[in-house]
Amino acid sequence: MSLSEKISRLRRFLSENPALAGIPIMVVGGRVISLREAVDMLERGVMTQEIIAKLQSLGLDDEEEMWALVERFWESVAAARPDIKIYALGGYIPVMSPAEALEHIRARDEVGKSLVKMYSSLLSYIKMRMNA
Amino acid sequence: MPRPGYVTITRPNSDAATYLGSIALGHAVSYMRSRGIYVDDLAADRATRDSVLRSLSTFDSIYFTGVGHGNNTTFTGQNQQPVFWKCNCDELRGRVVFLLSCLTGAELGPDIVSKGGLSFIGYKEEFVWVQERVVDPLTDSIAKAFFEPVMEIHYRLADGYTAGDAYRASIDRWNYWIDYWSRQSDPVASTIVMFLMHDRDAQVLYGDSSARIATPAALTIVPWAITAVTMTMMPIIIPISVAGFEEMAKSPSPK
Repeated sequence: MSLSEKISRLRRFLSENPALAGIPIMVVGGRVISLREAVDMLERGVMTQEIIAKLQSLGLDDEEEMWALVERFWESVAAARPDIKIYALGGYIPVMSPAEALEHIRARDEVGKSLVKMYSSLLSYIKMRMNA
Repeated sequence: MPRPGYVTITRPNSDAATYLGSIALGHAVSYMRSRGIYVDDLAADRATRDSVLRSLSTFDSIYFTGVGHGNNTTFTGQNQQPVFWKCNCDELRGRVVFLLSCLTGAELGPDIVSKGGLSFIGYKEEFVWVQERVVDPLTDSIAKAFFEPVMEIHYRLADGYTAGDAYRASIDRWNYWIDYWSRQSDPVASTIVMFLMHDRDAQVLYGDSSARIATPAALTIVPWAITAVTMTMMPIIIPISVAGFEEMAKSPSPK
């Protein structure tokens, strides 16, 4: 698949899945970027090889990078929707706010690890949908 | 032999998560009762191991279900008191079990089936959901996406479908909501998609996928339909019968 075909496919995915367009998806050049930013950079020919490689290994990122992505993700959720609550039927924590989720991620505790695992699955899902 | 048409359900409400889960499962109780199923509803302080064992012993319910905190080996009730745990679930032999709880699908569910449980539906990871307001989850604009797939299992089973049918209908509902929220531009949409996917992928079915808790709806519709047709025809049948009787009365009796 040529680069232009890939970009056009990614653009179509973004328009069909706006919920997933703005989430942190990879770290390139030391910076966390979203899928929308990645496509913009591909169009401008910026860091093309690195972005293509990262898109192919979405959800399988380096552990440190994954923590960085998840932290950025929950920072944006906490800023945009501080009112929502996350509930769980596990023993450790029945309810938490996005800000509390962010604290667990920064503390890298069991809840934080669980949130990282879920985020990794989300990235794998995005990869699957993009290739469908 | 557990009795079809009898259900034991636990609905603890001792913390925020079980409180909301308990409200949601109230819909399952109402629905099952509307289908003529007897439901022993062990809500709030009655959601304990003693009450469950008494209920199962009294009614011999085919279906045990409930909401509650859990881990790999234990399902709990009010105030997180253990109700069933690994190697201590013989009372579920011959029954269909659905636990709306974190992680019980990892070890407890397989253990229930290995000890004779008919079938088990549950979650092998945490069951997580997002909610906007502290209201009935099925009326919350976000939480209903998480609870409709759960309710689908209860509703299908109550309608006489198999555990496998109920499980598949639930997965279809998860997929519907994942697709719906993927298409939204709400800033929380990605969070919802993430947790919906997580719950869907954590949902497991073990044991006999052909198990049922109630008579299939089609079999209950036939006698109902015969009754309905007979009742509708009564204004016609009665005059014909009366006329026939009068004719018979007029005619000379055979000698």
